[in-house]
Amino acid sequence: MNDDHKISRRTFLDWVLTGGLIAWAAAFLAPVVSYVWPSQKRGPAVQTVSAGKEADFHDWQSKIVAVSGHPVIVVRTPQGFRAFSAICTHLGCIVGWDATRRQIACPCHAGFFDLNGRVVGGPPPRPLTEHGVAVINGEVMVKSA
Amino acid sequence: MRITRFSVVWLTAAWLANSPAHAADANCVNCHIDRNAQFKDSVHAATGLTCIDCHGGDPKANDETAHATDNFHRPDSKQAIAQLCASCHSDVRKMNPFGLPTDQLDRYKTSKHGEALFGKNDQRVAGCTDCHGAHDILKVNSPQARTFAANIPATCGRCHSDENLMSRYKLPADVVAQYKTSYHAQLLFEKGDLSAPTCVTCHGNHGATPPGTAEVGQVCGKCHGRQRELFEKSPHAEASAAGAFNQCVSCHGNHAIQKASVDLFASACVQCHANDPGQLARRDELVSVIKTAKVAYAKADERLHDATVRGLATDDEQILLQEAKTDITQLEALQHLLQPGELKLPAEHAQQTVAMIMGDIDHLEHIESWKRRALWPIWTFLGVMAVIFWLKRRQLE
Amino acid sequence: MKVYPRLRAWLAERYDVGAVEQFVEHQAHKPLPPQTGFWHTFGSLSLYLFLNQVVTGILLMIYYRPTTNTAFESIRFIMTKAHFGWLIRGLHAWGATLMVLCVLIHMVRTFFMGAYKKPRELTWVLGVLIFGCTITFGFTGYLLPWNQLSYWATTVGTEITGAIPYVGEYMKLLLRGGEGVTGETLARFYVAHVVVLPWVLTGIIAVHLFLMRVQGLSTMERVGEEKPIDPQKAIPFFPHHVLKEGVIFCALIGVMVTLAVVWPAELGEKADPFVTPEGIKPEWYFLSTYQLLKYFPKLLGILVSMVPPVLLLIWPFIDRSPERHPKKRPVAVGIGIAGLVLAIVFGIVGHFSESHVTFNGKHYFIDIKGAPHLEQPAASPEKAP
Repeated sequence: MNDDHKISRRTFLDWVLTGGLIAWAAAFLAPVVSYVWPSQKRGPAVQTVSAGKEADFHDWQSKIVAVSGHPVIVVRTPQGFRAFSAICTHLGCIVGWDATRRQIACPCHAGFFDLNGRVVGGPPPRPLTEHGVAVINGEVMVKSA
Repeated sequence: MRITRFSVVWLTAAWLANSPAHAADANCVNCHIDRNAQFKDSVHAATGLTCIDCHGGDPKANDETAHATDNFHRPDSKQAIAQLCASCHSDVRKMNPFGLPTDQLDRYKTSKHGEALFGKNDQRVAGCTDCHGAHDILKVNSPQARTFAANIPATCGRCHSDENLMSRYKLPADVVAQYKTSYHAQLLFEKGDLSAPTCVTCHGNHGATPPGTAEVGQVCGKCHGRQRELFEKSPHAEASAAGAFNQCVSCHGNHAIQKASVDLFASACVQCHANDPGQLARRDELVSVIKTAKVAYAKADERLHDATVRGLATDDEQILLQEAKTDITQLEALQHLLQPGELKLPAEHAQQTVAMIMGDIDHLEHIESWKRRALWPIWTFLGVMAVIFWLKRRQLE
Repeated sequence: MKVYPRLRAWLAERYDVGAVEQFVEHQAHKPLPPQTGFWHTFGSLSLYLFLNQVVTGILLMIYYRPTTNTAFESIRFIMTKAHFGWLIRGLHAWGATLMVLCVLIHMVRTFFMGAYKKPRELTWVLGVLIFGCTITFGFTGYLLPWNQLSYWATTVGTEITGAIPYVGEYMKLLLRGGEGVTGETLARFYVAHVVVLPWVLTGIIAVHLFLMRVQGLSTMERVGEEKPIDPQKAIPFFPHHVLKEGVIFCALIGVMVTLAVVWPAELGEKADPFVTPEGIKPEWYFLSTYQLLKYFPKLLGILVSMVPPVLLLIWPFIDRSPERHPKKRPVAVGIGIAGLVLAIVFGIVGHFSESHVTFNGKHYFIDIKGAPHLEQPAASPEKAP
């Protein structure tokens, strides 16, 4: 290992330079690759969101799911799934499912909606917007609009 | 195809033009041009009624002899008008095809107007034609109709804003003016919300009677059902039953009702409880629970908006904020219970949700601060590289 | 095992590899004049920044969707979901600003050192076109996030073209693709920004660089009296000058990352054609022109604002004196400094116009033309309900 002395400053500098450039390239590529890698297996224009497994819903059971930052209420009926915007058209409270009345109910001012989204009682001025919903491979998928 | 349809239209028009009813009209309008001008666009003209259906007379005569029949009549009192209208409008068979009720006259007789007309023969009170018009009656959903929602305050105001007339009955003449300052009127006139209450929503139309103290809650509760339901469980419900409290009106007022806010507590409670520190303390507790929750919500709302505009990932927090808003809105209804304890649960839930939102944003900002800390190693690396470039250059020289 | 000799041999059997090698060798070791210093690096910095825009731009295009319903949402996706999306967008946004800045400084350097004079007039003209392309890039790219600021800045910006007589309304229609700024405008600007302009600019830059390489860097000698570069003092382009630029490049990368982290590009609020926000201002490099336009009637304003770019474009043909040293051409340098000062002053006035400022404890409203008005504290916007 007497050659150590012979490793001149020049060679050392070249090594550091090469290493530095490789590190630089890696530091550049790493974010690029992770950016390009699909972060959630779906892109920015979200079409559908899963509300869970079909098997996890029994008849007349409901669930609130987040669809691009907005709550959506999903209800299973014997005829199939229905989904509506869960924001009450009266003052914007989040509606829930009234299992005994089998209606969508707003807790704030006792607004009631039927399973077509229509107002059947209380102050809401407009029906709830319906979202498309379909069961795909046992997964309940809700459309974003 | 086109020819057929055209022929049908043409034949129908020809038949209508030759029908006897219209022949009768043609003779009446020779003199009554102005009446016909009023009548021709009315709902009754549209359903095919003619002058003689109400007035009788000889449809064939072309001069004053037309009036010289036994069945000719011109109603000379408001009772007679009411009976004339009722001859069709109380006939279930005639009204069925139009889906119209047939109890208007019965209802009218129960109203203050009807009682005075039929009981005291007071011709100054409102009869059918005062509100509906006579020849120019329009459907209630026609914007020109006197009975159209947005025209109701003016229609009622024709008498109820007349000080001379109202003073005879010892009634105030400023109720319509008061109504026009109300939140309900603002909804009706400014937002064009035809579901907003007008005079008839609370007082009734044909059976117009001011709701009594006992009925106020029912009347308001037609729209504000949740608030009424909660009020029924409040200590004031008992006081109302005993006649010591006028349900909704005692705090909210009636004709000039304003959009309620938590500030109403400051002016309303002292009307009765000015010398009752116990009740005032209870009020302060209510107000503080609501205000604290609202202030927390407003802070979270503002901070979340800022974070979203900056481009932080806040989808989940948006839904949390919606949840907090649901709690706050529930508080506004629940305050009608007047029991601070009942507000605790949604208020605490709102506070917890707000705390979660704040925590999430803290977390996001913490991550942002790590980005800033990462600048140190980046600059160090770049500095080292720069030195190496520089050394290498020196070496080459 | 040596891959390169075998590959070279394979290629040499088919192509004239020697000529290419000779060209590369010549270009790489071409000597630069010894005065080549710090100010000369802004040209290559501009080039780096252009490459940065290309690379980050391509990456942004992966997730960006140019329709009114998806543009803003896709930017939000880039900012919040895609890993390092915030960094790539930040580098693109700041890269744009720095590129305009570097191109400007490069132009100022060229102007004051007289480097545009014979035989490099065309290089200068191409440089002015590069500057034009760069700010057009900025203008088209600013709309793409489809937020309130970008929407309204574009509305105001395209409105100006409407004042040109006869053709103005048609130009506005062509730019916007309709009466107002809509999804059509977005599509047009997107195509211009990611397809048309990149290739146009690449072409101009290629010729600009080619001319620079063929004619060499300008020195400060009088036109026609340039001495050949002394090979003893000359700086070889590679590796000497490249290493020097490496140092500058490190600083540039550091500055860009720092800007992207400390002042990240905002997402803003989604464009709403029904809500005009207060105080719409164009990007800083348009501010001086924007302010200039306010002092003239529409048509005259456009004519006046056309003077500086036209003057820049034909400047080498106006100033044909052989002197390069700034001290020996006071008129040209005087005009240059006056132009710079005016641009900066108009820019600053434009920045503060139509806004409320507090100076020395007093509140002022700066009106549209830049005149300050003292206002009562109660009338200041913070106190207003």
